[in-house]
Amino acid sequence: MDNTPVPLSQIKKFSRSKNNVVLTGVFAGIADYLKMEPANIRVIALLTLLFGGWSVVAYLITASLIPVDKNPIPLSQPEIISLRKENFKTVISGLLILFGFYFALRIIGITGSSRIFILPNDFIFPLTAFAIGIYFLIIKPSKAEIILSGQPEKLFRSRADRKLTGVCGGLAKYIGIDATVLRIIFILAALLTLGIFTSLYLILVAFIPYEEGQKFE
Amino acid sequence: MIFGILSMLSSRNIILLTFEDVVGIVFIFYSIPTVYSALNNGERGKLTASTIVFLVGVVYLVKSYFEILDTRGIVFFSVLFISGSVLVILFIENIKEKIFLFAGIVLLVLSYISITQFKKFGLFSAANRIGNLFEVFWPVILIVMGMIIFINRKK
Repeated sequence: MDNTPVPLSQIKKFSRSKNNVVLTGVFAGIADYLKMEPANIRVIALLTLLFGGWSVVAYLITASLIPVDKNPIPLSQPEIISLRKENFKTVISGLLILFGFYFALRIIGITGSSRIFILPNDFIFPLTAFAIGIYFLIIKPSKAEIILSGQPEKLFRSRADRKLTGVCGGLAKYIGIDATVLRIIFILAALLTLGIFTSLYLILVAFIPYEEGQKFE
Repeated sequence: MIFGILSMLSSRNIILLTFEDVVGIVFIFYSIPTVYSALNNGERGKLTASTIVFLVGVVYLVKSYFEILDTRGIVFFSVLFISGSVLVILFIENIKEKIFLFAGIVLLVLSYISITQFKKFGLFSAANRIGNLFEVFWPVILIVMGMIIFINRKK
């Protein structure tokens, strides 16, 4: 067994990520240190809010104590854009899961405290909304990013991403959203309108052609 | 930001607005400039989302300012009207896709018929029963959607 001590310079240091940042890069740093997916850590961290807001205090203390990574791996512009998109989706999905659990627990009858730290909820929630607004103003994507995201000029039914006729797959690609989410929206709308909404689906099936040259999966 | 400011002011009774008023105002104020910028930049996802947000904001304000007895009936009409409007705005974004205009008009006509004629056939009471189910299970839908976006985040 090799008992040679590892040089100090090779010991992995715990630092905030400079490349993979949503707020301060703490969770990407933790994920890098533990060799985990940063998205998993972020969603778990969001879910800890269900137990009160003390995790926010812990987060702020950690962010102020841990230094930023001094030697980050340089990323190309497309890599940065794709990372930002992934992080945005992670935050949105985390918030949906968090609110889903929060309201599910309320329906069951488990309600949290009316206060977070020493402040009442009706003060903390508006403050959080205000902070989120400021955050989105700061990270507003540049025009270059919008152009790079590229959307198809023409609407087709998808052969590759299809469950029934490829309408949702094609429409999702055209609009630039997730096909599964669009399918769920279609099903919910059809249920809420007692099936009348399916007339839209039938119209789209009848008039939208399949994309030429695209192969079936 | 506007939501934060308004709800803080209303919680301190500085302005007299209900939660529905605040949501309605915020949705409308957010979506008008967003629709404008999304139309300019050709961002269809944002355009679709902000059109839905605008109309949901209108629904909230209408619900708050007018005494509507059958609030579930609004859902039936709103789903059809909002979907129709989204399709029409997608046609405005790319006028080559005439299918959006056609399908949009069909849905808008259906929404009009739904509010004037369908009550006679008892469709609203059936919609109410489904609405009762949604009232209980809507957090599950949020969780499932969140999971799906999370799983497909790298696409």
